[in-house]
Amino acid sequence: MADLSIEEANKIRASMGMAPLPVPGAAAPPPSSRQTKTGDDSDDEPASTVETRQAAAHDNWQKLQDEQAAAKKKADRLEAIKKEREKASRFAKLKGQGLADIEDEDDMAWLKGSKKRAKKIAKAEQMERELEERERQAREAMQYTESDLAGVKVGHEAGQFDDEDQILVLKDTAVDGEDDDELEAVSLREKERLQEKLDSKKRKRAYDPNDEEGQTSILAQYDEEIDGKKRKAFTLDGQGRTVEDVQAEAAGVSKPKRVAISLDILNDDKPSNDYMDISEVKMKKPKKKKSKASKRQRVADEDDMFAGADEPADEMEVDDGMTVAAKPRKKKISEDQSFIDDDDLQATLAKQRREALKKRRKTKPEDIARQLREEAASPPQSPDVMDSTELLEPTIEVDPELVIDETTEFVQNLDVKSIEQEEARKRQRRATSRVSNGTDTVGVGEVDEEGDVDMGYAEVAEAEERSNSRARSTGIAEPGIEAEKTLDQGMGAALGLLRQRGMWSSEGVDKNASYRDRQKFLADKQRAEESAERLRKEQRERERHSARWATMTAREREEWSRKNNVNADQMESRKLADIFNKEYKPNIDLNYVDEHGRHLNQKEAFKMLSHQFHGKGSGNTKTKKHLDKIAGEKRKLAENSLDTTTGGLGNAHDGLAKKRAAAGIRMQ
Amino acid sequence: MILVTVNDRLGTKAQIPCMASDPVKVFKAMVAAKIGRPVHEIMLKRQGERPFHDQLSLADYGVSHGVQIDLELNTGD
Repeated sequence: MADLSIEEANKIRASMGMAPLPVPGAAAPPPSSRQTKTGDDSDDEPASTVETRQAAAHDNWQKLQDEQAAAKKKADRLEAIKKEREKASRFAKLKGQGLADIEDEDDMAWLKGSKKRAKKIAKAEQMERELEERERQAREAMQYTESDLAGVKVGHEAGQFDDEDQILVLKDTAVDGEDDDELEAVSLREKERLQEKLDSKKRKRAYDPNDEEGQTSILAQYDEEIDGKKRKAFTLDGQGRTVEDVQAEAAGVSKPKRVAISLDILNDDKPSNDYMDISEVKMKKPKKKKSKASKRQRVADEDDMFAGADEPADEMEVDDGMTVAAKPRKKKISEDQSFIDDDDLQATLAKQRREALKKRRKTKPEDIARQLREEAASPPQSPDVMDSTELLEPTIEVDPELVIDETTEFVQNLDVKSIEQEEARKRQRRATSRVSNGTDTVGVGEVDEEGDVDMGYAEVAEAEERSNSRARSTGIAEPGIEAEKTLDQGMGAALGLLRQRGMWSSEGVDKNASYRDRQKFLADKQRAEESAERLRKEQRERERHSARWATMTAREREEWSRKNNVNADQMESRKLADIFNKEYKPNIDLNYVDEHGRHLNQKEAFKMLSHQFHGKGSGNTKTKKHLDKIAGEKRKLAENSLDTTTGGLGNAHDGLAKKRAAAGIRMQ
Repeated sequence: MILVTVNDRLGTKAQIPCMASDPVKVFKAMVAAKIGRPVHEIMLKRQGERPFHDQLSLADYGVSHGVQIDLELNTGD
């Protein structure tokens, strides 16, 4: 602390005309008159006034300095003493001989003493070893094993110790308590306490009607309060078991059943084979068919056999070409098989159709050629057959009988080509017969077709009939159903087709009329507007040229024209309103179209709007049904209504029936 | 005589011997000699109070032995 020294301060004070500060070392300044005065009234206490205090200040300061100096001196002295003592103690340790001191002994003496020294060292080592050994034994004796724990009580249930390790500590008890030591796990105890707390929060009922086991004692809910809590505890017996266990075993209490856990799950980790082991596969023996089915099977078999037996004979006979194989069976069925229920009938028919189709496809050109040849040489047929041919199609011409059923219709629809072939064949044959008039086959041919030798009008009629039949066969002749129009014949045909299918109705006439009305109304309106405009223009022109207009200022002109405009507007709008009231007939048609582009009827539209409003559509099944329906409609639109290749006659029948809103179609 | 400590809390601290009856002006002169700053730049005040006036004495401000006085820069305001 580099303070301002008093001398310097005094210099400054002197320069400023102040009294110098008293210098401690120097003699006290001569007492002022005031000081002497204060010294006079000595009965006053020494520091009663500022002046006396200020006068005593120097003395006080001096005293303080002295005290400080004395304290410092004392501390220095104490320090010195301490240092001296330390120094003395430091040197006190170094007693005895130093290396330099031993030096005076000679080598001989050292050698002599070496043996003694060695012995001494060995003795010390042995001592040390013995000591170690003793210590080790003591330590071993001290080791704490589970046998030391025999008879110690543990304040938990054995089941409470799960797989995790628990640290057991001695339970807190009173020092003078006569209880034995008891071990407890702190964490488990905590858990118990928590559980107790939770239990106490629950409302306990004295009577539990749902209690299954009967109460053991009366007022059992107070047992705990009277007897105190039952503590669960077990005692260790020092051999890894509990005393209670051993006792229970001795008493023969049956242990709770252990659950056996299979360790096979450990083997399941290996990846399973995607393919089944062949030893595991079991083939199910096909069961014998029921008697009914087998019976039917047998019938079919018999048919086959019969047909197989017949065929060669038929071929040998010069009867007819195409339906040789199918015919006898058909006959047979119609003759001797009586059908009890419709299902059987349908099944049989379906089967026959399949067979027939197969057979039909199998006919090869060579066969036809051969048949031609055979027919060329065949004898004439009986006239009764001819009658039937006139009624029916050429396929069944040669049949001795007339059978009309679904099958015939089906077959007839199938072989358009073959029919034509046959006809061509017949024509050819006739031509040959006509040319070679003299041979005996000529008469045969004539009789065969007409039952008449004469070829005049009959020939023409027959030709006509043939052409008719061909036309019918190309248009799929169906009595009672007109041939369907096709789209390649122009607009009219297309409209006809649409009308036929009920996709378009002629009520559009009304729409046309209304449309025309509307257009007329619009035109009228426009015409009225135009005429009004024209009128206004003319009037404006007239005004512009009038004398009055010339005299008006610009502002007046503007005002004038505005007034005129307003008037004209009013007039015009009134006129338009009149037209509106008179002629305008709105044609409102609410059309709802779904996402598939179909027009919805009222019911469907309501359903759709409802679904939209509720934000919830139909379920899966309904939606699927709906989609199926739409798909069906589309398909129906796409196909020919009389097309039998896809749906057959039944389909056409359905379509027609639906179209006409009748239960069936009338066949003529 | 009393010892008065002058501290500007910025690293300048000095102990000045003086009399309690000294005017502040004289004290300032001594402080100026000690810390090497002109007298008109020195402003003395007790902590949290208004600055000392030159005409009054240290005793008027209750400055006694061992008292610490704040030293600030007098900007003339």
